Parts: sequence; structure tokens; C-alpha cells
Amino acid sequence: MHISEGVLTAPVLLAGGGGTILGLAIGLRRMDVREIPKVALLTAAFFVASLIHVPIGVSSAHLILNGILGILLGWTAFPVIFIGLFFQAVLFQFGGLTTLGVNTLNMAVPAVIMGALARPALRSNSGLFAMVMTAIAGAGAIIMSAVMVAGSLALSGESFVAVSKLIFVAHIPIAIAEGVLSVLIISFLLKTKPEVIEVIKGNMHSRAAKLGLVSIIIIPILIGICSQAHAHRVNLFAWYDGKMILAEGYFSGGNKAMDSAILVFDSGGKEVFHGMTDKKGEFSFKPPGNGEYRLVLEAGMGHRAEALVSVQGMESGTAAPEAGQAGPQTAESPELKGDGQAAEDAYKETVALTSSEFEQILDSKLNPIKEQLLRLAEQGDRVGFRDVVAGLGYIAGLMGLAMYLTQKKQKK
Amino acid sequence: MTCERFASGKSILHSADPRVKILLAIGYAVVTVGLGSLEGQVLALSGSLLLVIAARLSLKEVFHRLFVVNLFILMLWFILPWTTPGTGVTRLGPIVITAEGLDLALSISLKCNAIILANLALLSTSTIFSLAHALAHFRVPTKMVQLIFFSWRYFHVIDSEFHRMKQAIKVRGFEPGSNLHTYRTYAYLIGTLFIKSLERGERVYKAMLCRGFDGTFWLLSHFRLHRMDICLAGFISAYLFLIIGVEWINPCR
Repeated sequence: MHISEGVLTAPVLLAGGGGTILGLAIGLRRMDVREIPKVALLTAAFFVASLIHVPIGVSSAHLILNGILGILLGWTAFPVIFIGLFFQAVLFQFGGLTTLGVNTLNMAVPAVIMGALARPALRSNSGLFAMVMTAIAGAGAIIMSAVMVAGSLALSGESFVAVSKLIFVAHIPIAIAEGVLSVLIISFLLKTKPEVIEVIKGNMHSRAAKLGLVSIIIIPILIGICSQAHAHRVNLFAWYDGKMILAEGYFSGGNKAMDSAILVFDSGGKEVFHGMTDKKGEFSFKPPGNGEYRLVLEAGMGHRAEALVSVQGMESGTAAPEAGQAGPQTAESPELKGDGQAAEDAYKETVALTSSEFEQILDSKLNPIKEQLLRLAEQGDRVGFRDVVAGLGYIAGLMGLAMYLTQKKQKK
Repeated sequence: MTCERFASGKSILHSADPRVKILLAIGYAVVTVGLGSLEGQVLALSGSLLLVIAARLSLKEVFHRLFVVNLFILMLWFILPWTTPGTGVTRLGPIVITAEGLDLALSISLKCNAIILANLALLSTSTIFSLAHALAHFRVPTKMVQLIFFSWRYFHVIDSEFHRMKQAIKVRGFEPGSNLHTYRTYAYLIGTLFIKSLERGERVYKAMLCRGFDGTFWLLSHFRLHRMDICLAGFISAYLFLIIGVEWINPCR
């Protein structure tokens, strides 16, 4: 679950650091001085428990237990997780100093949210409801952490998308194991020492639950935007030049998508052609007849783009330059047929020729510009989203600093 | 537990002021993370290697630590070269290895190891207590410093408690496996650990109340900056500026 040093980019690291400062400020403010020894001992217990390797199927994984942490401690989970990660960074070189913020945020936010969800259920009198919510909290905290880890990797560059998917999948069995363990641990605590849960009930806030719910709504939206931003990573630009369908694939960074597989489907969804792009990322093929063609570019794991091209006027040899723009020309031909025979043929020939030539020239001039525009629009999109994430982090960090400063003032 | 394994020693770095070392470690990490050029990254790695040598750490131990951390990096080497878009170098069956992917994997390996070695030389040569003490001097909230102090103080206690319980279940013939029995045993083990630590926490608090604890964290000893510390800080920051200069001259890859 730790992200190592040197992997993430500066905006992600700063955003994580800012969020963690805010979380620490809230967590420390909510914790009473009298609770320090208790919380410290629990921190030590969690640190020891996280070193246990639990067998899962053929392999084993060490425990994270952030769901239980959230249930037992609420916002105080932030300092507890921070200290655990600090120890690991200094003692075992797992994680690291620069990633301390991101790693803490990725584990503590799910802890707080899931804790806030499960606490009201534990307060209620229905044992079954309480246990179901505990299981959801235990498993959900891991799933949410995995999504956040994957998200922070994916935000650092499109190269990490495959790695982040792998990390997410690897955490699904761990989540199930932690869900089961959470139920067993909480039911054990309720049986042996119900005061443990009573202690928690003392500092339960309905506000925290509300905040948790709000975050639960916001986070999937953020992830949705994130995945959408990634759906744009490869672009396929395709057009019909009168004889051939030409296509060009490139990545958002401007690199050509070379040696990638390209598939062509007709309007019925039948595959009519498959091939590879060349060194310039270009590809061409001769369509078998009129109709709509769907081109799919597969450029490595997760990189996929589609484009639609409509081919019309194949038989007459007239050019249909681009999808959706073929209308006027096909409308032109029947009109001309109404005229005198010989003159009409000659006239049609010349008009068709000049217009197709004209379109070709226009195409050759306009295509690079279009391409450039598409690239610009997309880059603007991506930078915008990252800036938003970084900005949120900065705001959170400033709020945390402000809270820290006001706390100092209150003491004076 | 063999935790603070590098903390004992008699090198310059061991005797340096922890406050200086924390600042230098943060500076080193921040500069290294931002490096984009190969030259800068190699300089950062060689600098931190020099620091490890200066700290006279057991190289065998250091490489053992590096090995564990580099397992994650190894995974990146297996994945990044063919998932990064860019100019193809070679082709392994249907997979295209890109130059950009190789570059990215190399730069991550260099940066990650550079920061880890610097942290080993600068931070792991201090005990957790002296680091927490230094943090208190940096005006880190006193609740945070106290939490670090107490959790480190009782970590060993809880750990030996845990090992005692683990031995007890082993003596009774417990074999871990993927079944509910194992999970229940571990859950009860962890639950007991929580209860024991909470009860101990209450006892500790009462004992502290008896000794007049009111939430204040008294700093009895203060660090003193020696000439050696100033030399060390000057040398490392000069080296960091050298790296920044090299980075500035060489264009980013």
C-alpha cells in the first residue's frame, strides 16, 4: 500500500501533503490531552498488528486494519496512521519522507469515512446491522485505499495506469479478508470489553458521519473525472480521401502511436480489416464499399481510441472527405443528371474532379491544424484536472496551517 | 525487534545534531524528487552513497534494506517499459518496449534509491527519540510529539506482549491457513492486543497523573549546534546546489 519515493510527481505529492496536514490538524484538535497515552498505546498495537501476515488463498498479506482504526478512533486515525508510516519510513525505508503525506492520506481518509459510516450502526441496537456495517467498513476502507493509491499513481502519469490497475486488483482479496477480520475483531471486543466501544461512543459526532457521506459522494465523482481524463489518452484521427481511409493515432503527449493494432468494423459490427500502424503512427486501407466504418486503435494496455468514418460515393469515384461532411457532394450528382447527356457527362467529370481535388487540398491543409487543435484541447483538459487536484491539496494544506496557528494563539 | 539498527555508531553523521539532519534529509528528498535529467539523478545517487559511506553503516545491512525496497521498483521495470507510450526500441512478441518507458523506470530507480540512501545516512543514524525531540524544537504540535514518544516507548512492550501470545497459540498447535479458524484466532489475538494496550494506556495515564502530568511536554535538554554540524550542513547544501545547477544545464528528458 506504500508508494515509494521518486514515483509520484510534485503536484500529487503536494496535494497529498496538504490534505494530510489538514487531517492531522483536525485529528489532533479533536484528541484530548488525557487521551494521549491511550491513543499512543493503540498506535503501537496497530503498528504491531500491521506486521502480522495473514494467509489469503495461496499467498499472504500483511494487515492494514484502517477500517477498524476508523471505527475505534475516528479523526484520530490520521495522526495514528501518520506515526505508523513515519516509523516505517525511518526504520524500514518503506514508503518515504516525500510520500508520507500521500500515503497517510490514502489510508486515513478511507478510515475516517468508513468509521463515520459504521459508528452509528454500532450505536444502534441491531446486532446484525452493526456487523454488516463493520464488514462494509473493513472491506470498504481497503478498497477505497486501493482506489486512492491507484488514483495517485494514475495522476502522476499515464504510464502508471497499468501498474495502478494491478495494485487495485491485488487488493480485492485483502479487502475481503479484512472485512471478515473486522467483524470478528469488533464482535470479540463487544463480547470481552464493551467499554472499548463505549469509549468510542463518547466522542462520536453526527457531523463526522455527514462529512463521511458527503465525501463518499464526492470521491466517486473525482474518480469518474479521473477515468474520463484517461479515456482521452490516445487519439485516433481518421478521414476518407476518396480512395482510402487514412488514420493517424497519437498519444496526448504528442507521440505517434506506432506499431499498434488497428481494427476496422463496418456498420453491422463485422470486422472487415485489421492491421498495424507504421512508424509515423499512420494507417491506411481501402474500404470494400460505402457505409460507416468504425476504427479502433489498440495501443498497449488500456490505451484505446475509436473513430467513425463514413464512406460515400465509392462507385462514382467522388470524394467524401470526412465523416458528416459528405452530404453536399452526393446531393450534387443527381442534380447534374437532369441535364443534357454529353455535356452533362463532361461537366460532371470536371466538377467532380475539381471538387474532389479541392477537398483533398483543403484536407491536407486543414488536417494538421485540426490535429493540433484536438491536441491542445486535450492537453488543456488534463492540465486542468491535475491543477484542480493540486489546488485542492494546497487549500487543504493552508487550512491545516491556519488551524495549527490558531491553536497556538488559543494557548497564549 | 531489530529496529533502530543503524542508530548506534560513532561517525560524523551519528554525532550530528538531529535538527540539522532532519532539515538536510527533507532538502535532499525534495531536490531529488524533482530531478528530471539523468546527470542530476546520478549525482544525487552518488552523493547519497557517499553519505552512507561517511556514516560507516554496515554495507551488508544497507544492501539488504535496499533489496526489499527495490522489489517494488523491480515490478515497475516489468510493467512500465511496455505500458508507456513512446518510441519503440525492441519488440518482444506482441509487446513493444519503448525508450520512454525504460527511461522512466531508470529515473524512478535512481531517484528512489538516492532518497532511501540519504534517509538511511541522515535519519536512521538517529534514534526515534532524538528525532521526536528535534521535532519538538521545530514547534511541531506538542500532542503529536507526545504521541510519537509514547507510541515508540510502548511499541516494544506491545510487541513482546504480542510475541508472547503468538508463542502461546503455537504451543497449542496453531497452524495458520486460509480458513475461518485462522481468521478467528488472529482476530481474537488482535482484539486482545487492543484491550491490553488500552488498559495499559489507562494505567500509564494514572501513573503520569500521580507525577503531575498536565499535558505539557517539558524539554529538559536542548541541542547545541557544533562547528561540525555547520560544516555538514554547508557541505550537503552546497552539493544540493551543485545538483540543481547540473539539472538546470541539462535539459529534462
